This record gives sequence, structure tokens and C-alpha cells, in this order.
Amino acid sequence: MSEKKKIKLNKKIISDFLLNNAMFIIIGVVIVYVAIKRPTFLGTASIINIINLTAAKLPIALGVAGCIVLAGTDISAGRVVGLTAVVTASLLTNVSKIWPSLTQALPIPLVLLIVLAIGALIGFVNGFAVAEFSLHPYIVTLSTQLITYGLILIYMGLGTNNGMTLSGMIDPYKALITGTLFKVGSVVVPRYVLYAVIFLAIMWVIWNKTVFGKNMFAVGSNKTAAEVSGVNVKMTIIGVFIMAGIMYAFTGFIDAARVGSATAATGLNYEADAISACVIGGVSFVGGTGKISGVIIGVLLLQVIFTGLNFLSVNPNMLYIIKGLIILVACAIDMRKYLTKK
Amino acid sequence: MSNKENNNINETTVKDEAEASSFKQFRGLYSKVNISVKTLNIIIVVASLAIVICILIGLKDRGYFIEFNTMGGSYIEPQKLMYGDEISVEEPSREGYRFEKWALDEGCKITADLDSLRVDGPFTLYACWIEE
Repeated sequence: MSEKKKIKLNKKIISDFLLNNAMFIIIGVVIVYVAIKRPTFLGTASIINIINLTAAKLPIALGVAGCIVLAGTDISAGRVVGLTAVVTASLLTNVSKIWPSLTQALPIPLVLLIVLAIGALIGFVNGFAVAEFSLHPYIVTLSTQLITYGLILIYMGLGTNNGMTLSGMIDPYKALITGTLFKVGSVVVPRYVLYAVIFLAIMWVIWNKTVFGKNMFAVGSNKTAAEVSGVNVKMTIIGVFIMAGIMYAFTGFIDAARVGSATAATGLNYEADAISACVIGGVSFVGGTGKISGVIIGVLLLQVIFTGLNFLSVNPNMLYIIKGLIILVACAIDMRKYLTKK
Repeated sequence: MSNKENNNINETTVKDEAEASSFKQFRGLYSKVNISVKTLNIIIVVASLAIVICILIGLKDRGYFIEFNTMGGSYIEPQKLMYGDEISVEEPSREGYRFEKWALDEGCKITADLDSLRVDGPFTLYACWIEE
């Protein structure tokens, strides 16, 4: 090969590498800058904080990832988290303003079942509409997002609450979620990190070791071919959305204790972060592609960058613009990788 | 294989890749998208630069606003503080009431202990009162 052509090929390899990994390069640069300006960013407390935040956001990302593998999306995720958080907070308090007749908190397992049922029901509605009527997931989940928000506002106005913040949850529930799992020095790792690891393991088994998981990837790759191969496409789609709804419900159940309160704004824009994390981690909108490890990496990297920007006290209004641009870059890279794959 | 044949194969490979990618159809959520690799390259570069510029602009206007809702008491100016800063604020006054504490919610259920509370984002502190 002539020298000129060698140089051209090397340039192409380098430019491909830089473009395909632009997101990771930006995050790496931000991490280095923050570490220099605020050395405590790389301290034990900060790293544990990032792990905790990653664990809190992982279940919703795992739920959304399934919908993306189906070549769809779910923008109702955040509001489902909000609804389940609000229901949890209202039922696990000894002085419920929403249910004044409730003189003490309901049993924790019962409340968990209730919120899981709510999440599964909303997931079923989404999945059924997509599978049965071939409606675009964006349209279906946009409508359920708005409906769910309306339900949150109505629920928060029940009894004598009048839309006020829900707090004052019972100690056993708070201990179950935010109690100490173990300590690293003096820094506490809460119990919900363990729950996130358990969800991770369960989803990995479902995605990789079950017929349902294989069907999910088959439907996402090519619905027609999957149908011809004997896959029940409708049940697979409904199942994936139900599974996603259950994961959102877990996120809401954990969030109510983690934050210590629940409002109508709980869960706002959670789906944007979850979707961005999935795309950064290689779960492609093309469908039929994605790994659990990619979801973890995506969530972790997003938490790292935003915790870093937090450390620098970057104007919080700018963070929305940065998040939007991150989604744009992640989707552009996703499309580029698909087009240039042999 | 001779060098000339190698060169021809490499050229063909690069050309084939370019042609193949221009004809490759998207599927899934991108199925209606009609865009070239070159355009995507431009979008990635421009959007990445935009992210960096936004971070730099955000750094120029750093800080989080801590607001004080005195719930009918005297007005307290919001404070602009940095991540990790302590909060120092005078007690508000309200006729017929005695100031009890600051809280993170309007219902005064989540007490804000100013000795241990550190700024980690924008938020509002609510004054809690006891009727005299």
C-alpha cells in the first residue's frame, strides 16, 4: 500500500474511533477537569454517592431498555415512577392526609404488591395498545404519560392533602430501603444498592437465559421473521411492557424512601435520563440490540458526568440543555455505528 | 499477493463500505430516517462542541439558589451558594408566632438541620412556626 493510502486509512481509523466514542471522550474530559478542580470528587464519599445514585436509577433504565430492544420507547416511565412513589408515601405513613380513615400504615409487603400491580397495569395498557393496534409506542406512552400525571394530581388532592408534599413515612419502611447495607470507612452504602444488584441479576437471566428474552430480541430485530418462526409477537410485546411497568414501580417504591418525600413532580424527566443511559450503553433504537452490561455502563457514566457538574455548581438550568445534547450525540453515534457496521 | 493487488483490494474495501453504508436502510425507530454518515459525523462534532460550550457557560454562572419561604413571616433574600457550602441565615419573624425551625417541606415534617445540611443543588427552606 502506498504511503498516501496508508495515511488515509489510518486517518479513517482514528476519525472512526473518535466519532464512535465521542460520548466517552467528553465524559472522560469532564471527569479529569472536575478531579483537578475539586479533588474530593474522586474521594470515597463521592464515589459511593455515585454508586448509590446509579443504583437508584438502574431499575427504571432496565425497564426502558426492554422497550428500546423492541424498537420502541416508553416516555411514561417517569410518571409511573411518580405515581407509585406517591401511592407508597400515602400508604406507608401513620398520619395519612390522603386516606384520613387510615390510622396506621399498611403492611409494607401489601403496599409493595399494590404499587407493582399499578406499574404492571400501566405497562399492560401500553403493551396492549402497541401490540394489538400496532400504534407507535411513542404515541401510546405519550398518552399514558399525561393520563398518569393527571392521576397523580387527582390522587394528591384526595382527602385533606390538597396537593401537599407527602412525607413522614414509617421507620421500618425507611430502614428497609435506606438502612445501612455496609460501610466503607464512615460512608454508608444503603440497602437499595443490594436491591438494584438483585434486579440486575434477574433481568440478566431474563434477557439471556429465557425463551422470553430471546423472543424479545427476535421481535426487536424483525417482527415478521419472528412471527414466521413461531414467536407470539403480541404476548412478547405485552410482556416486555408489563416487565418495564414493574421495574418503574420498584423505582417509585425505592424513591419515596430515598428522597424522603413524594410530590407531583417526583419522577419528572426520569425517562429522559433512562433512555439516554440505554442509548449511551449500546441499546440501539434500531431494535434487537442491547446488553445489560451496556445499561449499567450508560447509567453509571451519566451519573458520573452529572455528579461532576454538580460538584462544579454548574448553573442547573444549563443541565437540561446538556442532557438534550447528550441524547442527540448518543442517537447520532448509534445511527453511525449501524450504518458503518459491515 | 503483490502490493498493487493489496492496494486495489483496500481501495475497493473503503469504497464498498462507503457505498454500502449509503444504501443501508435503518430499521426500528429510525426506519423513516434518511441521513448519511457524513451528516452524522457533522452532527456528532457540532453537538459535542455544543456540550463543551454549554458546560463552560454554565461554569461562568455557577451556583445554586437557596430560597427561604418564611410562610407568612419576614422576607429573606435567596442566597447563591456553591456545592458543599454551609447555609447561614437569620431567623425570620412573624407577628403572633415564634420561630421553631427550618424544614425541607411545607408540612414541616422533614427538619433541616443547618449545622449538618450542605448545598447539593437548588432547594427551598420552609419556616416552621409555633403560635404564641
